Amino acid sequence: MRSVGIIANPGSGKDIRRLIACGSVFDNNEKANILKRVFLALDSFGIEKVVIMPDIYGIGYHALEDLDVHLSTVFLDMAVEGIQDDSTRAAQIMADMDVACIITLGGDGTNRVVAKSCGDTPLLPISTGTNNVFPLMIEGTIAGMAAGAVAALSLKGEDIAIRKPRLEIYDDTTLIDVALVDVVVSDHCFAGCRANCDETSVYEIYLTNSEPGHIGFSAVGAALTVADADRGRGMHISVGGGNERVLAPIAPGMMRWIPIRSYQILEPHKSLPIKFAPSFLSLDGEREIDIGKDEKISILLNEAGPYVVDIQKALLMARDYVNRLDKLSDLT
Amino acid sequence: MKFSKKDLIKLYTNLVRARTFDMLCTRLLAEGKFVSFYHEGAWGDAAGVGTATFLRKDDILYPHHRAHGFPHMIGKGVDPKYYLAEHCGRATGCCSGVGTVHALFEEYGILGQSAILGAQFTVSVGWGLAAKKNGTGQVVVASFGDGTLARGTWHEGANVAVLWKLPIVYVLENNGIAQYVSLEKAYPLKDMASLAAGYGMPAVVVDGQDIVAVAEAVGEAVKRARQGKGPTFVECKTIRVTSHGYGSPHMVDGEQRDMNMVEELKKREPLSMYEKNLLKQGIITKEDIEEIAKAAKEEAAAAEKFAMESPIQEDASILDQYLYAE
Ligand SMILES: Cc1ncc(C[n+]2csc(CCOP(=O)(O)OP(=O)(O)O)c2C)c(N)n1
Ligand SMILES: [Mg+2]
Repeated sequence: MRSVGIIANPGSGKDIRRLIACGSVFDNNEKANILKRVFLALDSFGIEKVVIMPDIYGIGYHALEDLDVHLSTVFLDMAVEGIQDDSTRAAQIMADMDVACIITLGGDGTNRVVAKSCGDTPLLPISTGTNNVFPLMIEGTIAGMAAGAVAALSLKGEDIAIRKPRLEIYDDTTLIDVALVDVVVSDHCFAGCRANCDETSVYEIYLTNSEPGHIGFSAVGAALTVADADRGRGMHISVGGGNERVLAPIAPGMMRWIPIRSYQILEPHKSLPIKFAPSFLSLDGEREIDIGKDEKISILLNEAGPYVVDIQKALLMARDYVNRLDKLSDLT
Repeated sequence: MKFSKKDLIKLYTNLVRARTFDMLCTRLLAEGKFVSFYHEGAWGDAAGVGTATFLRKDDILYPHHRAHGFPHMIGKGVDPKYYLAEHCGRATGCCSGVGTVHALFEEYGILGQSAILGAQFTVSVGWGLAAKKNGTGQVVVASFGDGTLARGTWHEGANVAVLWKLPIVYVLENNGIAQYVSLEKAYPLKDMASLAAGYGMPAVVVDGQDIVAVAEAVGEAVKRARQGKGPTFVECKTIRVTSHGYGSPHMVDGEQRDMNMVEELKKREPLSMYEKNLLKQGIITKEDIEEIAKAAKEEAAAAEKFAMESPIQEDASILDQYLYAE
């Protein structure tokens, strides 16, 4: 039976948005509690092995404390530095181990760094961050059940997951980073507190899609009147000036009017150069890349981003799997 | 929160000055010129400078004991030579040479310190209440370390600060160690921000090695306090690369500290990280850097001369003047 991977980010849910956008601190003990519920559900499905990324807080260790489960747990043998790269390296190792899926605990930022290296391994992202578009607000037990079905039935690719697009950031011809939701170009000159909630600083927004229900600068896409057929597609928005403006939730509790100069559907595999330099790129809500005066940075939409477990489908399969198991046990 | 070019250079200049004074203090102690001890602060100095540089002159500040609060006081605008003279027991010191490591600069809102860690939590409630009642718009900023937060006074202070919506910003410089005890051996959690959140106090965790991140978070917290929205907790994750105090054993949890790990920590030296970004963004030039370093060295040399040429305090009755009011 294939195993399940777990990457829990101890740093999510504590940034400046607690001061400026009514966010609340997401305590790591609560993340450990969520993981306990994941483990209990996985165990009930007879999952034999769970592979866990060690982290500076020890979320996995705390989750296993006093937990009565049969499954075996393995902590990856890797150095932990308390930085984003921990999650990227862990995802790479888990993909190489061919785990059935990776359950992540974090926000958009956590999933972004995991998606850099998880390849075709489907993600099951549980939201424990602030402004989340990519991860799901899902109860740990339910997530465990869905992951249990994926592992027990060894489901792969399109059979169980939906492929999400990603935005790729190129320095000349070299891929330097990715984003799963949005890339925002702003006039900041420092990463500072990282979260970007200042609408007056924004030049441009690149989106993987403009579906309603987003929070953060990606919500600007849904607020624009585009044809429904275009909703699932990428978008490029120039901010400032113009005759149009839209009201969008750019962070929890922060409703802002955003002036729009122009916008267009972003076609896949068409590279768009960033025209503003020096400037700063926020990837999925966090300031990440400073662009120097002479750097040639471009953005490209690629439909072949990470796979994300289709929860409804997985739960239906889980139901059938459990019923079958139950009947079998009646026979014996 | 965005900073102007001038603000960013001010942060850099203050960080260079704080670092220069840290080196000066370490040398003067080693040369036997201090009447006190010294807790070095280099590599952990961005949090103090970032916290204090944009405060109002009349805001009240309780400096951290790490680096003896030089980063905080330099940020606040205090002339550090009087504090240096104090360390040397000179009559020109800020406490007339009888306070050694204690700072007092009333006109800059630095109203005294206690050797008993954790005092800041309770005195800041009094200062915060006064600021609120007087309607002055002043904010109280209390800086402290992770070990200090273990005092019961934290809970007493935080409770009342939230209850009475006092204009206080608590800035924790969490370097993961308190004298000889690691954070792991002292707390069942890593992010102390959760303790503040338990009182319903907005709390944020920032990279304390990133001076801009600290200034941004403290700036937002100060804004909340001035708007009457009550206290905020800012946890700056920082490092300690030296022993607890100059000359004390470099130990943790009963053993020598792992020097390989300390070398690893040193990679996150805040001054050079900030300098690199400023250069890349074209905010300063190599010539500016040289000039700022030269000015800081001259300031430190002048402060040393001032302290050394000042008379040693020999009048014991000074203590009476400080103890008893008319
Ligand atoms: C109430 C009290 N207990 C103990 C001490 C001795 N002491 C001085 S500094 C220090 C360590 C404090 O650690 P922390 O607050 O983490 O600050 P750091 O030195 O790490 O910057 C201790 C225990 C003291 N001054 N006051
Ligand atoms: Mg400490």
